[in-house]
Amino acid sequence: MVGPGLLAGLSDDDPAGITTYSVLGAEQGYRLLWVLLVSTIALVLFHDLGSRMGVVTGQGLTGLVRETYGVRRAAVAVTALVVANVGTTCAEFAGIAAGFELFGVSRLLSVPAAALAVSLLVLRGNFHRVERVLLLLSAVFVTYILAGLLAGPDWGAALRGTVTPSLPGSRDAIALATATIGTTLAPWGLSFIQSYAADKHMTTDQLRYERVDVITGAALTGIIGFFVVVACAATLYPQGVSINDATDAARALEPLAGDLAAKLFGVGLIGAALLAASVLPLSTAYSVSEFVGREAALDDRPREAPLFYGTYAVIVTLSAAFILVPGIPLVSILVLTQILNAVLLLPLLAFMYGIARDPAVMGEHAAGRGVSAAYLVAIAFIALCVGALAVLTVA
Amino acid sequence: MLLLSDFLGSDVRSSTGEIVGRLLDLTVRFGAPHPTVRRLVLGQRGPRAYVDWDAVTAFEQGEVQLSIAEVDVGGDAPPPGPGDDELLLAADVLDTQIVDVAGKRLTRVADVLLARSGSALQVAGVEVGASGVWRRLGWRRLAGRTPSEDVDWADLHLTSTRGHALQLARPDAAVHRLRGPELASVMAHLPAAQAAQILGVVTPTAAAGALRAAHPSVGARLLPVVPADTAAAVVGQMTTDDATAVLRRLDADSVEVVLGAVATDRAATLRRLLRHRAGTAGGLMNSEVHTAGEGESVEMIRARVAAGPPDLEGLTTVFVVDEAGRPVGRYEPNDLLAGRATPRPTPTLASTLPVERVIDLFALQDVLALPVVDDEGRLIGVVGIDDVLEELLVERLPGRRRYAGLWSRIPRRHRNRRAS
Repeated sequence: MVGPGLLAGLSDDDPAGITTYSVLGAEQGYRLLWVLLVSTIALVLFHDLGSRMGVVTGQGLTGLVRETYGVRRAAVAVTALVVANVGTTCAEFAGIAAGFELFGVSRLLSVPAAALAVSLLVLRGNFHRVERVLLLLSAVFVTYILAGLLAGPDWGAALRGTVTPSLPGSRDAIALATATIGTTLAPWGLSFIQSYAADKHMTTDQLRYERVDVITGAALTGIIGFFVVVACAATLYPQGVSINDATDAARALEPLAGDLAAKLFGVGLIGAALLAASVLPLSTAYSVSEFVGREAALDDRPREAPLFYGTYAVIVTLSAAFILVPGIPLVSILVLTQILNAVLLLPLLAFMYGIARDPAVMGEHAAGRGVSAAYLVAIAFIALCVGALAVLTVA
Repeated sequence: MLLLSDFLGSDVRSSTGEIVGRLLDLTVRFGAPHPTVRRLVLGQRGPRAYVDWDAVTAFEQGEVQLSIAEVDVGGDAPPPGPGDDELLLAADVLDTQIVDVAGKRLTRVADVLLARSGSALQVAGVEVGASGVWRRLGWRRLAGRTPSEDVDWADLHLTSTRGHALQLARPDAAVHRLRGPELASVMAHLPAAQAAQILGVVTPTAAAGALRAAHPSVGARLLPVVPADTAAAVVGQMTTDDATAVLRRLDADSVEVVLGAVATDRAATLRRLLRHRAGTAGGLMNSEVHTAGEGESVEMIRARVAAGPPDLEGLTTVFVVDEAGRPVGRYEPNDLLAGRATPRPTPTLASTLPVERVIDLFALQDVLALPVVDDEGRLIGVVGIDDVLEELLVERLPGRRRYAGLWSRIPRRHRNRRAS
């Protein structure tokens, strides 16, 4: 059985993640790798917390926020989650559009077809038949490890960039750093991992195994992300190539795949995007139902769970429609939605921090001073990036 | 019907008209099916104060009037809190999850329903679902269009820490009246620690009945968490089939902790059955089987079965065995009733036969039960048609949970496998 930490880690390497990491390497070289490291550490911290909250309380994130803080603050949390997830679902459909365009298929065909196919497969219960195929397709991104090695990167610079914090004061650099955080520590992943732990009725005895699973998943995210950045830093950055579309991003795979780089990249994009485009709307629909207090499942008929199915339909329709707006720049969407993720992380992490510290909720598993300080440092770092970006954008 | 959320935050005035605080909560004491409000919890700046309901002269939305001039906030004394038997309606009930026992579902309280009864205020029940949420967020038009759902106070089990503990301590609480599928529903929905507490306070018979009605994973989740003697008492009351289905899902150490406290004979039987792998005829079988010798007439067998133990899982197929203990024939219940002269031939199941083949044989042979034999052909147990159905329901039908694996699915109707 693949644990939730590993699942969330695999799903983090979605089109938004791969594109964000690619742009990070192509435009900044190796120097912002430390942001990826910090993001990965934050991922371990908060996914561990999320799974612990799910195990101890038996509740998902939005339900637990409502029980602890009341309905109004929970409305803030669920709104942040829904908006972030709509943004990321847009990014997934952007990934589908970009992936199919590498094979010469117009987004006007690929996006509606994908939206319909994913919805039918999920809602009619046939998704489990194709999940393994999609997981396999999205595993293409593991080839970045080979591509990164074959590209002959400057390992010294890569190591320096990983351990030496330095942030150019430009808006683009801070935007990329913020997007890196938002794509690595995605809001949907926090909700997913807590719900998974609660749903599986995991016990506190299993928490130490779950921590291993979380660390493994986060490490996988970090490692693949690292090699995506390194591959792009070694191939695209020296040539001053900006990533404007998927073809540009695919060039980082040329050391491995040569002329087939674009097709390889396209296959990975499509597989990962389809997988995420099915998980995200479903996860969001569950979160909304949980907030309202009405358990829902795909067993229920639409008439029995109108909010559940309505949420799903609205998210898929809105996200797919947005990508079909003429002239929408797909790469920009892929990165901007991850900046939005980082912004909307702040209220969610604040709620999680409060719950983590509350012995009335977490009992003996309440966070101690040391790990609480680590949570605060991570939240402060995210707030700093978001704040700096806001200031530079307005200025 | 009054709604608690409409009153929370109301100004509370003393007899002199001065505002002494805002209404933060109401307390009740468990006891009656619809308990009355006992105290008000006030707060403004500083510590909270508790005021007896008897001091309330008017209780209206936005304003509560007291008959006393001052409210004691405790001074140097320790800050007041709810009594050991007092429930806080806002803190322990509002926005918390409850198990709706009648509806067999886990849901969340959107509001608490109060009813005036003379000068007292009674808790009638709770409102659940989206309507109350929209109303409290100020979206009254949407709330008006959404159906409202109420749960009677007597039909719910609280899952909040204090609520759950208080209900368990009350012998008249809903959970103590539950049996079978209803109790299974409550335990399946609660976190392990809380569900295990229920196992500890209900009788072993009730607990065994609940675990029988639940998916075996529920028992497997709870038995390692309860004290060994409680687990042993519950296992002692379960049928052999149900006990092995649950124990088979535990690791070896947990099984030994449980069986170590179970009566020797029973434990030996269960250990023998557990030696057989799941997914085989041996893993499905029950060792309690009626046999007859080759020389016994059907009248003698019928008389013996009628006088024998009644707890053979509803099946009375009798297997005729030779001197070496090998099955050579069978009498089905109709055969015993009709006085069939000679036994029917009987296929046998090797203990290692995969369950898929067992299912095929039952379908092809049109039988109620088949004997399981060891390597030497000797009878060691029986698989009944009910065991095959259990296997199909519990293990083989596509199931659905939200994130189990990625997308494995269990229809909700099968979660409580014998729920009505």
